[in-house]
This record gives sequence, C-alpha cells and structure tokens, in this order.
Amino acid sequence: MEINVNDKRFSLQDSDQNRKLLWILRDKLGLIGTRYGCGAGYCGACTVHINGQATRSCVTPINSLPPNAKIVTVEGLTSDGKLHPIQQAFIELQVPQCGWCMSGQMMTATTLLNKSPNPSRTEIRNTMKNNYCRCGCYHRITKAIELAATLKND
Amino acid sequence: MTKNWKLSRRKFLIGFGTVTGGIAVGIPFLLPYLRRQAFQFLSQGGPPSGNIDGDPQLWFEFTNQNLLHINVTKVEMGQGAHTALGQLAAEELEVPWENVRVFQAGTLLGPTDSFGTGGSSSVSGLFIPLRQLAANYRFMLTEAAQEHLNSTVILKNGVFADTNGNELTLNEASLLEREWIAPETDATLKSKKTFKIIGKSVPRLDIESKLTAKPMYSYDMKSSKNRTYYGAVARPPVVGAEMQDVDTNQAKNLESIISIVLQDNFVGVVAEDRETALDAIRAIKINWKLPKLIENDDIDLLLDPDSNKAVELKRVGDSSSSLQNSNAISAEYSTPLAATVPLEPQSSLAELGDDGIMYVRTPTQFPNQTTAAVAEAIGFDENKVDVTPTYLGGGFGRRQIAESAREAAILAIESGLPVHIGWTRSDEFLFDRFRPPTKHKLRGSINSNGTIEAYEHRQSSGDVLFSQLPAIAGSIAGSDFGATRGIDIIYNIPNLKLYAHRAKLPIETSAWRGLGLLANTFANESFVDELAFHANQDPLQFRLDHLSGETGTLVRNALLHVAKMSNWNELQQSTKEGSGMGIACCVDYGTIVAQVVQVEINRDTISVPKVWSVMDSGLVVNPNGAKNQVEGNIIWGLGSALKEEITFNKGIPSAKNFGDYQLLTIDESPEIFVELLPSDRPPQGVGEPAIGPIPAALANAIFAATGKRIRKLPLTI
Repeated sequence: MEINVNDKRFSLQDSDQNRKLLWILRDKLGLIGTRYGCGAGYCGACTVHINGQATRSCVTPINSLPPNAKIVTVEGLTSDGKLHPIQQAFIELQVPQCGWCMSGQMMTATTLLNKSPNPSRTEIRNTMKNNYCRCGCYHRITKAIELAATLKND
Repeated sequence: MTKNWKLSRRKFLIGFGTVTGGIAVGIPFLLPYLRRQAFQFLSQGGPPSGNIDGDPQLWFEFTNQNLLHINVTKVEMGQGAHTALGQLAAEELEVPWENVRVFQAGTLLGPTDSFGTGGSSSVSGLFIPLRQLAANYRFMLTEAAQEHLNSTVILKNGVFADTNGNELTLNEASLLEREWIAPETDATLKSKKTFKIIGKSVPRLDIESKLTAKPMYSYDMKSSKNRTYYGAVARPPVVGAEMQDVDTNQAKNLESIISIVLQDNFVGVVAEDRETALDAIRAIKINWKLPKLIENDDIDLLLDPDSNKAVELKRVGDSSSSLQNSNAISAEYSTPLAATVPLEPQSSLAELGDDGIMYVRTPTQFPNQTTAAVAEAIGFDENKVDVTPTYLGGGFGRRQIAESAREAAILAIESGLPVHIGWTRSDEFLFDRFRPPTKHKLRGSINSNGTIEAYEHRQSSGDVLFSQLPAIAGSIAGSDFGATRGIDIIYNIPNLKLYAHRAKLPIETSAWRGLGLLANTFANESFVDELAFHANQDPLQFRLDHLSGETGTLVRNALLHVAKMSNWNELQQSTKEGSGMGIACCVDYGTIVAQVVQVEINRDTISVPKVWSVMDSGLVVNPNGAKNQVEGNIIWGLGSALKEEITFNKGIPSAKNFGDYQLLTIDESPEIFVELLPSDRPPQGVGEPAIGPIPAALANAIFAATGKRIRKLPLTI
C-alpha cells in the first residue's frame, strides 16, 4: 500500500496497517517534524493535515486513513525553500521556547487561517485551545497567528 | 606544533568554585548557628556558579569561512542559554553575530562543566568566566597575528588589520603554528558601553530549526552509520515494586523482535520498530512484589510545620511575645504535589562506537550525573561513555538524570545494536519526580504604627535537592535548601523567625521549575496581604512601608513600576462586581519580580484577563529572550495556581496522561505585559524568578474581588 505525504507517495508494508500514522511518519519516513507528546490525542504536538483537516496523527492508524488521503506535515509547509507565513510569523515574534509543540501549533493554526483569513482573538483561542505549550508561549502564539494573517493577505 | 587541543582536557578553572555550603562537620553544638549561616549564604548567594575549563580552544573554533563555533556545556531547553552564551563569547572575540554558531559539548569531547544546567544560572554564572576566556583568547590571537604580520593590529568583525592594509582572519590567526600560552594576567574585558551584541535581542539561534522540522531533539535521534533499532522496558505497576518472575514465551514469538534482555529487576526488548517493542513488553508476563501502597493521607500526615525536628533558618529579634498578643493573626497555606511533564517525553539513543566508547544522545540537564548512571549500568569506566545532550523538549528540573539513557545503553550493549528508547507519556507521569507538597503555618502581628511587629513562617516540604545529595549533607544542613528557596523575607520586620521541616516522603520528589520558590512565595506574599488587610492598609503601600536597604530599594522600584503599568491605584478601586487586582513580589537569585494580576470571578470560574510583570535581573543579555521566560513563568505560575495537582491512590499518581492532568491552555491565558528594568548590576537569574509571585498575586486578587482568602493551591472558589 501507499500513502501520500506532502505530495509524495511512500510505500508501506502490510504490517504497517495497524501502526499509528505518527510513528510511520517519524520512524519510517524520517519526517520527524511531527512530534510525539501524549499518544492519546490530548496535547496536539502530533497534528498534521489529512485532506485539509487538522488531525492527531498519534491516534490515527494507517488503516483508518480515507482512500487517497492527502497528508500534509510541517515539512510540507515549506515550498521551494520558502517558509510559510505562519513559520515566518513564529520566527519574527521569536515564539518558541523548547519548541516541541510548535509543529502542532502551526499545523492547527494554518487550518484556522485557511478557513478564516483574519481570525478574531476568540477564534484563535477556541481553535488553539487543544494544543498544549508546556513552556507557556501562548501570548506569542496568539500574536504570531494574527501576524501570519497579515502576511498571508499581502 | 600542531593543534590538538580537543583531547588535551587541561583543567585550568576559571570562575568560582561550586557552592557546597562550606559547612564544617562534627561540631554538633554549633549546628543551629551553622544552619542559619548556611541558609543565609544560600538564599543570598544563589546557585552554583560558573566553573569552566580554561582552555579556549575547547570552547572556540573558527571555520574556513571564519565562522565562530562555540562549544558550550549548558544545555538548551528553550531558555535561550545557547544564544545568550554565544552573545557573551562573540562580544569579546569581536565576531559579527551572523557568524556565530553554537554547539553542545559532550562529556568526553569539548569543554566540561562540573555543575549542569539549572538554577537560572547558565548566563549569570558564566557572564564573567566565559567572557574572560574569550577575552584571553582574543589576547592570544592578537599576539599571534601581530607576530605573524610583524605590525600592530586591530580586531574588527572577526578580522585583524594593520595600518598597511594587511589582514588576517581570526581563523587564520588560530591556525598559526606557535606555542599557545594563556596570558599570565587576565585580558581586559570590554566595557559595557562598547557592547555591540550583549544586551541586544538577537534572534535565537535555535528557533528557525525548531520551526522547520530539523532533527535536534532526543526523540529525533538516529544512528548516523547504522540502522536504528527501538527498545522498550518493562515498568513496575507502582514505583518500588520488585520483579518476581518473568515469562517471555509469548513475546518471543512476535515478529520483528530482535532480542529480549533480562537482568536483575530489568526486562527490556529490542525490536525493528517502536510499536512492536512496546507490544512485546506488554506481552511479557511479570509477577511483581508490591511495596506498601501509598495513599495521599500517608503523604499529608508527614507534612508537619510544627514538628520539633524543624530547623531554624533565621531569627531576628524576639517574635514570641508579640505573636501571643490578641492583635496577632495566623493562617495555614498548602501546595500540592505537581508533575513536571516536559512536553517531549524523554528518550535516548545509545550506540557502542568502534572505538569502544558508548555514545549516548539524551535530554539531560546534568550530563555528568547521566554519564555516571550509564557507566555504572553497563560496567564501563566513565571515560568510555560520552553523553551529549540534545536540545531538550522542555526541562523544568525533570531532566536532572535521563533514566532512558541508562536503559538504552543496557539494551545497546546486550543487543550489540544502536538502540533508541522513548518513554511514553504515561511513563513520564507515573515515574515523574514530582514537585513536593508543602504546608506552611504563618503568624504575624501589627504594631501601633500599622507595620509588622513580628512574623513567623514554619514550612514543611518534601525533598527537592536532598534526594540528590549524600545523606550526611542532609543531616548537617537539616533543611533542604531547594525546598526553602523563596522563604526568606524581603521586608524589614523587627522580629522574625523562619523554620523549615524536612518531610521524608515515601515518594520521589525533586526539582521543579523554581524549586521551593512558588510555594514559599505563595505563602509569604499571601500572608503579607492578610497582614495589610488586618492593618487596614493598601497592599501596595503596606509593602512599600516595609522596604529598606539596597535590595529593598530595588523591590520598591519594581513594585512602583508595575503599579504604574497596571494602573493599580485606579483599577484597584474599581468596584466592578467579581473583579479584582492583586499584587505580589519576590527576590530570587538576585532578581526582583513584581507582578499584578487582574481576576474576574463568574460563579465558580476564575479567569485572568491580564497580568503585568516587572523584572529587574541586572544587565539582560538578550531582552526578548528574557521576556519570553517571564511570559512562560506567568503561564506556569497560573497553571499551578489554578490547575496542576497530583494525588496518590493505592501507590499510583492520579494522572497517567493529560486527560487527568490539565495544563493551562491558550483560552485560559491572560494578556501579558512585561517590562524589564534597566540596571547596572551584572546579570542575575532569568529562567525561574517570575514564577514566584503569580499564585499569591492571583489569590490576593481573588480576595480583593470576593473577600475570600484562599490558602490552598490549586485555588478554587
């Protein structure tokens, strides 16, 4: 079987069917940008896009993927070496501390920006509330999403 | 003479010795006195300071492109230490910031560090030693360049130039064949007004990598030469359980299992992939002999602030008579067990090199301790084990020892393969080294001038740092100086007594961000608010009235500044129902923090719309990075004040994942306003102090809003 990640096709073995997408991405495909935080869907560090929806890859078995699912990971945010506006904004505001949650934060934030190009504070807080940041960078995450919205509109 | 400094491992020491307390042994009748002296020394002196190899060529290397590579001993866990240390060295070596790269030293190669990373001390402790080393190297390189060019040179932007237009890069100078001798007297450090990089908010060196999926954390590590295999280890149902018998029959038959390792009280497997390894561990049947199962009450009863075993930390005047009179008030405060839970669960990669050295990549704040643990586990000499920390997905005190390093090394030795072992989230919770619970009894009285006449704080806490020290150190010191951090009073009080009781708990407790700072400041700064109310005075003015001396002036400035920022005088008077403002402050490792919290109460829901924070931490090497630390500490402080709590039931902690232990989330976070005060003092601690005042400031705000004084964390209405 094959999966489509960041517009590339990868072959998997039959025995991978029951494996979680997170570990296939990290240990098998080497896409380590998707992080493991809790393995139970609470913290959001493993968030990827599946057909445009923010999804917890740590609780997503390979055999549950929709046919021809398009998976995008944080590695897929960058195209032709150009950083995505969300990455630019997170760098500009020096958001991360330890950084472990940041891929998940950005993957959730990009689905919000796709749906709502100029999100309100309330929309940001409601959408991002299931992405934990243990270092406590919430203040900057909020501001960086607002900044990314302006970069995106340019 | 060719350069081969990397392995020379010469040990000139620059800087100060490690703080050990300087306590004499065997003079029992002097013990109370010595204990007070030790407390005073530690509470004022701060954490262990810089103590570094004095060989500049271990620390600084130049590339052919004349980039400066700095090998640092401190680990980067998000606090910005790598960048700030890079700034110190680049400043003295006159290297443009864009040419600076920072690398992590391992325990076998590069410079060493007798301490580790913690206590908010990486930058403040190395501020002089690392700059001195860089300045001395600049002096050595300048001499070499002058000799080579046979003229006087000036160093600018990483290049030496003489008046004839001859140039020599720092790299070229460093490659000159000569006998490199350190100057007999230290070279002159740059003066503050000539700083170009120190004090600037240069972008952190690790941020872009962290946002673009670079492999840099322990969980990302793979063998660079060979296929990486994955390990898992059987864990007891409760801490302290012992293995009785083990049945591996079912696990053996699983596909893609490489080996099963059985040792004394240790069962591990190595498999081709991580999930198989975990499946195999689950398939191994183990009978465990259980220890006595701990209940929360067992822990609670051991916390005894009134214990006659409590150690007197400080005594000023005589508080006893004043505390007996009718004007005295008393209160009891408590804080619960809390989990550290960095967001990246710990993991380690271990691989035996062809050179017979065990190479370990692991997220540890204390590489020396981890090296010792690995060496012991696999029967190697410590000089055959290299522990090189990765970037840490959070530290917060939990990464003192990375247990997974030991586990990976055992599996790597036994299987002969490179093995990566990653802890699960439930491993992190069940085998955490928790923040100890505390209880506090406070008494105070007000005199006829409306100021504090007498004050007494009796504290009882589980171990913080004693768990890491030899027993003898504990019995001499009597109190755990990690647990008492923050208990000292910043106010001028004529009669004062501080006591600490060490509760020997049947569970593992250890360092948690700021150690005792949060609990002790919660008690002190809430109780001072109670005294202000008792004296019928404004909480801000009451504090100001008790401040004197050098530190007192700094605290006063910080309080007045935060009051102005938050419009304290006006907003505090606002009578909007269910809303209130609270103020609190602390002094921690030379850093002064003053904070105001605004609270809104809606039925039983506590929300915090805004927090204002002022910090005076001396000269700040990277202001934007320091502000990020303050913001993070505010979220930590609020999380502890409102949510974080672990209890024990039948020997098991109450959480094994985030469903049972909720962190503060973005929708609960306040708008945060941070200002750093300018200062002529040298750098002080930055990574932790701002966690101190938050819970008290919030409790004080809740009192202002509702008239209810809440003395127990987490705060509930």
